[in-house]
Amino acid sequence: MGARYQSPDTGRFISQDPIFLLTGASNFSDRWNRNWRDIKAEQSSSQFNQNGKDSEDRLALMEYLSDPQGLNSYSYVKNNPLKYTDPNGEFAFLLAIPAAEFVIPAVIAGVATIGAIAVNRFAKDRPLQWDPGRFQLPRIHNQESPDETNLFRNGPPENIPGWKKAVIGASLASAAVKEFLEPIKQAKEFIVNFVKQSIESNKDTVMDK
Amino acid sequence: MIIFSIILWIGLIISLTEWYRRRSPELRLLTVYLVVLTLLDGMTLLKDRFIVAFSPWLTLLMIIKGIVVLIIVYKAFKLLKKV
Repeated sequence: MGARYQSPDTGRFISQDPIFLLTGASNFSDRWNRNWRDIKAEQSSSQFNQNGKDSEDRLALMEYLSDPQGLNSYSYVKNNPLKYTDPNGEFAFLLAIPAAEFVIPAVIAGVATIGAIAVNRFAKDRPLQWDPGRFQLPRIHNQESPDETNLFRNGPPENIPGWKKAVIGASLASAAVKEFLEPIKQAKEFIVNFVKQSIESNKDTVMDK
Repeated sequence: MIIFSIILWIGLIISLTEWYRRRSPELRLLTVYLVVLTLLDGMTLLKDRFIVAFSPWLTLLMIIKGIVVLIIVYKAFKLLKKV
């Protein structure tokens, strides 16, 4: 958190939202606009400049007060961490925006897969039109039967090379290992917390005696 | 943990290219399994990245996801012997 302190145990901020420290200030709209990284400043200068500074102040304040969850200056992302995230402690972002960094590669991978399927379908029904030389495998089947060569562009399906098999196996194993590591990690956290709490409670009882 | 995801992606790419070259039904099924595993793995990545609060429903979802992943991995290993 850049702008304020947060307690990781409770998931809440332990210092106030910095915008609350500005609300009484005389130059509120200036500082507000600067805080919003000049987005609001552009809007207000283009639309409301002729109305003067008071209306700017009221506009900014009204917009801020229009979200009642934001009035608790200690709450984290409007008490809705499943929907919002707040990496720097200033604003609550919808999770959909940072999720784009995962969604875009997923869309690219999907398009690539569908393209591969389409090319595959296209190539299967037609005779060989181009010869990918460096993909050429040693042909162990009868070269003279044209049906077979048309059906399989690079020869009939053979076993894939051993190292590729090993890599695919490793990737499957890593997926499985990850599934086993996840509960182990959670169990470790649980045990560590439990031991910590028991030590602290023991300390209290010793101090009491 | 990201290293496991990267290994999974490499396996997916190899399986996809092999399927494209050989077009055998076993490789196609293996690729489908790996795509599903990658999507489920992406779910875990999203959870680790964004979800801070503890949620019993999410935990249940993750347990179900883990069972599905293990079943798919078992089937894919059986299939890997054939390709």
